[in-house]
Amino acid sequence: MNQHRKIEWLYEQLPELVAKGVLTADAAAALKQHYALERGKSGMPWALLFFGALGALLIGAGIILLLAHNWQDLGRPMRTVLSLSPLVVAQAITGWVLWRGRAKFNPLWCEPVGIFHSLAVAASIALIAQTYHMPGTFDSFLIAWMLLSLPLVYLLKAVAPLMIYLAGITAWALYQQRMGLHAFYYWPLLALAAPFVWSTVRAAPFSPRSALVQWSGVIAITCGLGFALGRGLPGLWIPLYASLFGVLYLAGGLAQRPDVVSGWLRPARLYGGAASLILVFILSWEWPWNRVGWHYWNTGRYTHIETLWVDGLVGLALLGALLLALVVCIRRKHTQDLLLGSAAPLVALGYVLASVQGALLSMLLMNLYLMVAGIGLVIQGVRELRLRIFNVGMGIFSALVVIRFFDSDLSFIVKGLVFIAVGVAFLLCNVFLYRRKEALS
Amino acid sequence: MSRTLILVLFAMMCLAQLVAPASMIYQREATLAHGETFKFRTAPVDPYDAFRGRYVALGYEQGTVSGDWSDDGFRRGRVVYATLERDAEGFAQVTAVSRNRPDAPHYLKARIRWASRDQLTLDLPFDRYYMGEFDAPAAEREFLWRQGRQERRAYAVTRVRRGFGVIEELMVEDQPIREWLLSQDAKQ
Repeated sequence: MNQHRKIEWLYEQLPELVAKGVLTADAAAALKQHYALERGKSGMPWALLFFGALGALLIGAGIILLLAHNWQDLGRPMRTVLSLSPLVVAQAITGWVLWRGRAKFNPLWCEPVGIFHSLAVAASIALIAQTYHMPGTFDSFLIAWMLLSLPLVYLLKAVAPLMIYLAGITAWALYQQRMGLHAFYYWPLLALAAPFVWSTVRAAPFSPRSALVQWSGVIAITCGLGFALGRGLPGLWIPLYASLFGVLYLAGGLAQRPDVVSGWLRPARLYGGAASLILVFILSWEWPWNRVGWHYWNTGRYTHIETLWVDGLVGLALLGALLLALVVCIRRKHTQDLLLGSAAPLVALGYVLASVQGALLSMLLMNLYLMVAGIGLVIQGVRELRLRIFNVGMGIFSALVVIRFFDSDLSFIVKGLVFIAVGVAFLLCNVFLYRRKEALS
Repeated sequence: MSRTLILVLFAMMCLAQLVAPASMIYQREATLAHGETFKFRTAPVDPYDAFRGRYVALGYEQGTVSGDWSDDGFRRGRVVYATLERDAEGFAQVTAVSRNRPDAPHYLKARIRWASRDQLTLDLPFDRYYMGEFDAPAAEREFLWRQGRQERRAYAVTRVRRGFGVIEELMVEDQPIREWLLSQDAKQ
């Protein structure tokens, strides 16, 4: 139950409690007064944001459709005026909000204003392009739109325009890649949004607003890393993605506060950990390791050897950040995260091994790591009596067993029995741990 | 940030947001007013682009250029310059493709859509002609249904200036396409 619902429930209970004599009327009134502020804070603004944003999106989309559908009979000057009018209206609204001062408005009002303004920029460019039958260069359209609407993020301090920006530059990188180009400008474009992300997270690290910013950021960077990599060195994505997920997981762990348990509010840690594990599971097969490394340079017409240094820089930055996070973890004796955090350096080692020796050793290394990590987390969970850690460990271990048995040539009966045994062990261990925890508490 | 600074930055953003479309308009208007006229033979089809309404997508015979393109610079996605000359009927011919701006009087900036060692396909800067939402499918129908039976003489009249190209009119059988569509309706 979230905070808002709990308070609503309490409000419903109060008259009955007073009637039964459990609480005096004064105490009930005092409780009501105490929670009145909280009640006012929660619930409403998010609904406002959602419907406000939805409304702005619908109005924006409606305007685009109305204007874009058929206006051949209008002359070019009239079309130009109409094309620019949504933008001018949006500028007037944003200008009014900034003139009055953001502080006078509910901060969430800035979100629909930002969405509307951003869409108006897109509509104006697209409509002018239509008037002059301009060619369908989607990438230049996207870049112009994104750069012209990025200041909205900083001026309105709004998350929604940031999300549009991140989605836009990531789509641009994808388009560039599809065109056979190397989208390395993705990194400076991403860096333009970084100060806002940083200041929002710093201001209130575990707020829903900060979570939204972080989720958008980690998803954008995950997609963008794949789109913006050149194709020169086969398999370079393996150590780079492992480092990215490792950095997110370790940094999220270092910034953690014991009273924040919701995974949703700690995107870096939850996402970094889960993505690391998924990646290592993928790497526990042989196929990703085949034909990777510096013996297999791609030299075709559609690889980008001349801009490979950008990939190198990105790789060095990610590996450097990973090492830094590991060192800080060890120095601060924050050792509980090292089990999952060590996946990335091992993957990097696996990449070197696969480049030198072929796929087999790296594949074995990943399987060994998953086994050790699974068992290690189970032990840690039992020691600290923490069901969540225990279950993650058990999950890793049983998934490994199930996957490897599924791959094997054993008969269905053997496979079936193994699956049942793993399931039973999972359940029994949970019951055992739960009872022990209950007994101790 | 102080309020004054915010308002100054806001004003700069608004200016940039207006200057960008204004420069697009200026460039095209200047090309339409002062550019040289070239005709390009076309083959229209009709996709739908929700962002920009209905248009007729255009491909050009002149977009495909044969030659020795084994040089590494002629790759998909790269920007190149196509030197243009006119034949006796006023139709454009691409006489050379270079990676740098040529000295020739008339040339077009274009992106390479596809490249092999002996053939380049260029995305010429007039690959679409916007029409009304009812006219575009009608144009498509006319072309698709009749294409098999008789050859249509369809071409784009364009203006070219300093590498920029703007489509001025789409002609079918020497009539602007809207007039041609009306004449087809009248015949039926």
